[in-house]
Amino acid sequence: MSQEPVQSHPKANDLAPPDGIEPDFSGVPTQALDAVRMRVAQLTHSLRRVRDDLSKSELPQWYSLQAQLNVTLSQLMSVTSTLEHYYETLDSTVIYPLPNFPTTSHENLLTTLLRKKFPPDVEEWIKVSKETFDIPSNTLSSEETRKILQNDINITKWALGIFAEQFEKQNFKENNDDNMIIDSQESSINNYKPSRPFEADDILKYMYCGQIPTTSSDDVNQ
Amino acid sequence: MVQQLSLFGVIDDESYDLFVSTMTMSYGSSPIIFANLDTMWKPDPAFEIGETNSKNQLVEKNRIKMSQVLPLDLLSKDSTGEKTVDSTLLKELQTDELPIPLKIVQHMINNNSSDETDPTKSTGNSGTGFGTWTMSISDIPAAGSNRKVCMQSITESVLIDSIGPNASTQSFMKQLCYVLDYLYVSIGIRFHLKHGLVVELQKVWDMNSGKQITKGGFLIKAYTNIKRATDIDRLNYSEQILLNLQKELQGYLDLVMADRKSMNSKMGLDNESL
Repeated sequence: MSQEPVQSHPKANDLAPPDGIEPDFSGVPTQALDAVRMRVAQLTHSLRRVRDDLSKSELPQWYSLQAQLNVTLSQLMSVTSTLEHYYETLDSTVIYPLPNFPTTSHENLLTTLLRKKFPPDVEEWIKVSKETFDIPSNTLSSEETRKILQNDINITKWALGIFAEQFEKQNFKENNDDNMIIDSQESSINNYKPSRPFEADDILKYMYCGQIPTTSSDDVNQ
Repeated sequence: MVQQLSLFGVIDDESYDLFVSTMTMSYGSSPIIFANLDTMWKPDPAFEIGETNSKNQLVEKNRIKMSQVLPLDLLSKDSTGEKTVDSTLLKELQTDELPIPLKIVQHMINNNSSDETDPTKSTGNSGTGFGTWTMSISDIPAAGSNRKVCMQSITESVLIDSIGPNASTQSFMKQLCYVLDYLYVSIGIRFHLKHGLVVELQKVWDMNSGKQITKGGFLIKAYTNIKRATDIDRLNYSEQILLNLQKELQGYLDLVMADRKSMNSKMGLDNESL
């Protein structure tokens, strides 16, 4: 971010400050910033798509919406993990405008760019979401927050385990060959198939034209 | 004339119990036992019946089936008649032994005959003697290679009574120029499912040879009747229902379409059969 004002606004200087001081970009964590920027761009793109889909007069099918949300969530995950990965670098980076930045004419831009706190609307969102989840935002210490999060993770893990277990039990699509081998009693029921002592056609031949089936009478003779 | 859509299957004697409970539990319908005497009549060979086998015309002699319900108390081995007859009866009937005496059957056919040696005649059996007969003539099932179920048209009538001197089924059929070809007894159970679908499980005994045709097993017939052959919607719907049943039972019981030739009750042309 510190790069941008230099490149975009003081065009007339052609990157060379009038006082001859060469700006030093070596301290800029380009790699971290680029990684975050890329992922945030992806996220905003897909969030925009979700928003556009939802604002259409005809809602999309639920499965396409769900797929879309899944993509968005995984992108959100990757943003958070990237931020976590570069946490130290980003946290210790201090940005400041170069001396030749036209501070007077671009004061608004500068204050936005240098702002360390969340913009008021973002703060509002955070507050609303905390209220929705019944977390007392002001009184909570970080220790308690962690505890709540851990609790949440535990519940999620348990639910996933139960779900996987039940899914295996109800999985009729796959041929449960393995289970059958283990449970021999069950297998004898499931594999049971009546034998065919005669052909239906032979019996029908008798019923319709009186032909006594040869195989059947052979059996009788034996 | 009804159109009968049907599928057939076979199970062995040992599977009877499981099959009954499977059907009862899966479809919520309990088994109903039935016993029929089926007699097949053929045109009297004493007459020279004209046959045609020209290019566009084929006239063949066809058998007529006369069926009558057998009273179930005849089947019970228990002479006191106290034992109720239920679907477990079929488990006892696995041998060649005829489930009902031939004499009674003969009496049912010739009940007004002057055969005084018939012991059953005088013993109050007259009530079950000349009962109601169902008369049916079935056509050869419809042809077609992409057929999934058997479709057969059956013409039926009911013979309630026959009057006149020496009236009997025999004499009635004689007047129609038909003579008895062969007769069999079929005993089985029947499940009435939804959508008019019926599943029958039966054993068949040939009365002439005294042998059980379905030795070691049961013939299963799943069928549904449609009143008019022109009711295409109903036909398609019923076919779908039969196919659904086939699909539901697959893996356990294979319901298949029978060979149409085996369901042909025509006698063929004389010069061919000789």
